[in-house]
Amino acid sequence: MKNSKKQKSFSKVCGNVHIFAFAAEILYGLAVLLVLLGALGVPGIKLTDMISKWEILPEIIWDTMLLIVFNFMRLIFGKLKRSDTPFLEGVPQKFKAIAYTLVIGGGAHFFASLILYGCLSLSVSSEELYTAFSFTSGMFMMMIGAVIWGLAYVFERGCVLQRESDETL
Amino acid sequence: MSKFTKKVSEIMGLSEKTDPKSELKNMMEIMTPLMRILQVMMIGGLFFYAADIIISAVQSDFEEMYGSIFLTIDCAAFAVICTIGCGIIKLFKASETPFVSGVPKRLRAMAFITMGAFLVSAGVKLVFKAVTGAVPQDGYTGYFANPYGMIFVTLLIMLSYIFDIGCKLQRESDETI
Repeated sequence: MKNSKKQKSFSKVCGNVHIFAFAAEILYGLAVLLVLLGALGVPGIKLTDMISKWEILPEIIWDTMLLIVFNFMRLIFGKLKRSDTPFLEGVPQKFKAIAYTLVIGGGAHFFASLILYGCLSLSVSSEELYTAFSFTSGMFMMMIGAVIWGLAYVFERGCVLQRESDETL
Repeated sequence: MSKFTKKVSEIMGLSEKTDPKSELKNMMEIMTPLMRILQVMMIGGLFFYAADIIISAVQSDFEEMYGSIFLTIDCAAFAVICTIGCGIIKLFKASETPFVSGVPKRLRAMAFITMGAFLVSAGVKLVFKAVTGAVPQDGYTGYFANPYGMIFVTLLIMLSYIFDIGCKLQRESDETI
């Protein structure tokens, strides 16, 4: 009784996260599109508060990374909300894909910001640069990626156990 | 292949030997020192900022005290979370499987501590305003004082449920063998 209640609330939360991930995916898709169009100089789309045109690079990396992550999240939670068990085939691989994206994207964001900061600090005051670049967010995403990496292995182990349990029944 | 590249490919799961057990253990080997460093930093920060509260209270510098209170709460909550994290890593390392009976309980404890820190931060915000009447406009209001922490809490509770199911399956598997 208690378990079925927990199961119900679990699938409810998964359903909500699925909707949230879908909405976030659309928003980040639009963001990437707008930033790219702005960078290409399409008339009508103007990018404000830019020190240099290259400042857009970390932003594009960040938005693309989150777009990919939300896409995989949508796929994972769409599967989880319909099943009785969280240990499904294909879920660990998607977790691993999220982890790779976060680690590579976070690292790329960090290094792109670092290099641009170095190049721009020759001509622009440091106060302006501090507000334009963020180094901690890339590192933070890399850390989250490492945690999700570990989680993927936990899920893999769970899938093995689930298969065993299903075969025994 | 050098030792380093071998280790890296083993951790990334690129080598032929793809045994989830050893990969998780490798991950934990990396995580242990990181978690310990974080824990020591947070405990150090806790003492430092607690001393700062007393000093600024003596000098009646309320703006300084306001920030220090939240930093103390942050450090205390993070220190407890890191300690629980170390416990979880220890359990993972000691056993063959990640589904150990103590893990879901610890994850839930982490979630409740995050929620507690959120409530305490919000409470301090209100009480400080009522008692001193002076709250700095752009003062630091604490890492746990924002509602985004609730997403973290939800994730942790979901994870604890997933681990619960995993533990049940592990028990079943052990009994069958």
